Amino acid sequence: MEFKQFAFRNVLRNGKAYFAYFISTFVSATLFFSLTMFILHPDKGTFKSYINLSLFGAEIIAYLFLILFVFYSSSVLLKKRYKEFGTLYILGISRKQFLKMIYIENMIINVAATIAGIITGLVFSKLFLEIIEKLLRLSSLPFYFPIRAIFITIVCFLLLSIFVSLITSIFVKEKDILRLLKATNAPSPTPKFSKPIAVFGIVLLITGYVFSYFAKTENLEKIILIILAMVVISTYLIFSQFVVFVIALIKNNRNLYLKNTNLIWVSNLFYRIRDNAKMFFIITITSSAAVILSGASYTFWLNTLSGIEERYPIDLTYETYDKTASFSANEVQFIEDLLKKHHHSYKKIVVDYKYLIQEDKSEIPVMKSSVYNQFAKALNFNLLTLKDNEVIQIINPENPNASILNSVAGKPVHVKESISQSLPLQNNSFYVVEDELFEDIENKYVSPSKYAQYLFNTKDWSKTYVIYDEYEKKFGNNSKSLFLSKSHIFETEKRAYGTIMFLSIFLSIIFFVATGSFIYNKYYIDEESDKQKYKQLYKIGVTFEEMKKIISIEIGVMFLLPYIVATFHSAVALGALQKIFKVEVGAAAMIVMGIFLLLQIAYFFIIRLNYLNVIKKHLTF
Amino acid sequence: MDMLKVSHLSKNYGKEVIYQALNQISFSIEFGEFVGVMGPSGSGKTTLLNLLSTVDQPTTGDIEIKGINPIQLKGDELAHFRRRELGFVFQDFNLLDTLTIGENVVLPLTLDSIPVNEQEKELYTIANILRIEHLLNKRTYEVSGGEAQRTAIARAIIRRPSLLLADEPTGNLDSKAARIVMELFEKINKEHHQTTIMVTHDPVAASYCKRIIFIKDGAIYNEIYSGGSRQQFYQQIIDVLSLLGGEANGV
Repeated sequence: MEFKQFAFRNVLRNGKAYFAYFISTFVSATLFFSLTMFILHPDKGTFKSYINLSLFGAEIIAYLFLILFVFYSSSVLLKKRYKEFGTLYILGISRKQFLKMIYIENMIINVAATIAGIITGLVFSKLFLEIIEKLLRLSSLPFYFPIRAIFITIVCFLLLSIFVSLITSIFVKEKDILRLLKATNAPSPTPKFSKPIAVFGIVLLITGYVFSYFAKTENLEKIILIILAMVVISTYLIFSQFVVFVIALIKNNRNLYLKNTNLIWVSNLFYRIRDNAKMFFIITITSSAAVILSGASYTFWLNTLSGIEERYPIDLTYETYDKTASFSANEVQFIEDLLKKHHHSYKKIVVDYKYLIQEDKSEIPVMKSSVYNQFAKALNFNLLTLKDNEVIQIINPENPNASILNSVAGKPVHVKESISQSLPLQNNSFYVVEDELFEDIENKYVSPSKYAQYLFNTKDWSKTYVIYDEYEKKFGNNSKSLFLSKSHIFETEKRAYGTIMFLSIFLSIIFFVATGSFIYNKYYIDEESDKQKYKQLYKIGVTFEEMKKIISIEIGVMFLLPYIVATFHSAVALGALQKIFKVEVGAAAMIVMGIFLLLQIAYFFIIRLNYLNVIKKHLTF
Repeated sequence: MDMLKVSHLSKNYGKEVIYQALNQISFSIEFGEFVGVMGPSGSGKTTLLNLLSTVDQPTTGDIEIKGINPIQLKGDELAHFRRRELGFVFQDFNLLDTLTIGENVVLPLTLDSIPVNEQEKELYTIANILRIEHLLNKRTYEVSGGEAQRTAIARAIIRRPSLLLADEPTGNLDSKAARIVMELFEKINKEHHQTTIMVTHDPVAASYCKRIIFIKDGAIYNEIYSGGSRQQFYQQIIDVLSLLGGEANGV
């Protein structure tokens, strides 16, 4: 047997230990590769810089997280092998050989996972590109053979495995390995906690929550980091101190503690939670990040797309500040020609305000009733009928202070009624007057600051962004006019939120898979000592039914605890989001957390079943 | 010729309350000896073995194995020393689960980068001595305790170490398997002149030795030599143990 073979066999014949680690590295490699493949797609076209930046940013975040994940997992898995390392030490393995062994083992897993990930990525690339096309509103992307993406993925994962091997080998200390050999297996000391620190953790968490409640758009940038730090630190303190403290309280309650199987699971949890505080902490933070990311992006996606009609009731709007009639006529003609060319049947509203100069030099806009009624027809509100000297005040709900109009062009008028109604492109309140009266207003009463607005409503606006694009191409540089297309805005927002949503799903999957792997590793590591423990309990007369109860409670608490804390974090964060950005988060939060809970429950039952089987087999053996 | 020379060896544990596990122990062992170390729990047997196997460092005193002081060695030198001069057999075998029986046996040669064909040759010689030829392709969970321990012994002596150290090698075995293992220790010692030190509780196992060092409270209490008859030697051991106040019946 050569040394390399030895290292190979260590990994290949130890499938159960490396299973979860391999799976999660594999899933990460698949996603990482797919994203790289898309970023480097030759037909992707050019994106707005923020989209490119966020794609790139997500890839870097995923990569940094992977470094942490791989490092943590491999150091946990190495811990279980300390006894094996001790044997090797006694057989005379040198430090250099030991490092080489760890390095080869890491390499095998990472290279295998990366290659499997790239192959899976290639197989599913069409599907991946289709999802991306849909979320990012791209025209269909053909398959290409992504040599560069393959190369980048392999290099990144090789570097990852070299880096992690280096760090883990620093962390594995000869002293710790030898302690196991010396056969002086001291029982682990009683968990220590400090009551003040435990209470401080809770206070810090509540303070962080309260801060986030008072966060506003203006101060968000400044306090978000403080809030994050507070919540992260307090999360750690909760698991390392507060929960231990609570269990100590349960232990002190003799009536509760000494009631049948309570004794066993409470004392087990007492040690377990302290030993796993770090893992709880990581799981909670990654789960919270996954839920908040996907919840927030889903919220924005839902809100934006459902609010488009409300925000932009008119399909196309054009306004210009140029006073020459020929200027606007030229551009409007261009727009109308385009609409005809693309077979859009449309209704045009020519909006014409006159700004009446008042005695105090202020101006009051008036509109003729026929134009208002065109709006009323297009936007479904009540038609107006007016007599000679009647006017109707239209108050903009966003900007309700309005001056009073007593006369129009010297003729006294009376205000028939006030209607609260906002019209597109008009930010102030105004008056509607009868057509003839409007036409009779002489120029001397009117402010010369007149500009024209043209609005177009089409039958189906979904494709009208084409008109915007062509207009932009021709008149894009003129700063005197403003042409807006609902369809274009909709497409742009959809693409932006689609990108965010896609990336948060991308990161969430990596986080979620990593969390699953952490939990699996934890149970795998404890399996050996638990088998012995339950066998001893069996000998002193604890039945399998009772063990089932103990194990269910223990595993349940281990699953539930991070989930509960993560749910609190996410709920508070999404609540703050609702308050700051005035969006509705309820539905999105429920869906995301619900999916998360279902996955957790399913995973709980799988792990529990597996675990009970292992214990049962060992008892009857 | 002295294979092992231990002089004034002491080991203290603890910082505030000092517990003296070994107190100024001195003895020497000649080439080809088979020495048992006995004593009640807490007498310092395991500490002594840990010091000899370089797993632990003495507080004061010196060890010399084949003229080399392993305490002075560091890093790779120490690794090479353990690899070539020491063989170790544990109570719970400590075989690697990921390797087959044969692979476990040749592991020390693998670590020493010995060519594969030489590894194979050595493996068959050793497997023949320990009667594990039929097990070489099995995995560790497929063999019995006695077979596992024989594998561990094969692994310990495949490099022909200067010193074979055994820590309760029969502690996890039934009496039949224990007898086979002890007979093998005896055979290796007799036929291959393997210098062996064995720590044990078990007077039956100890009776295979040629000499027993009794330790009590970190110091040598007594020393007896076998006259040749194992039955007689067993009786002698029992007598010393009853004086020692330790457990006469072992584990």
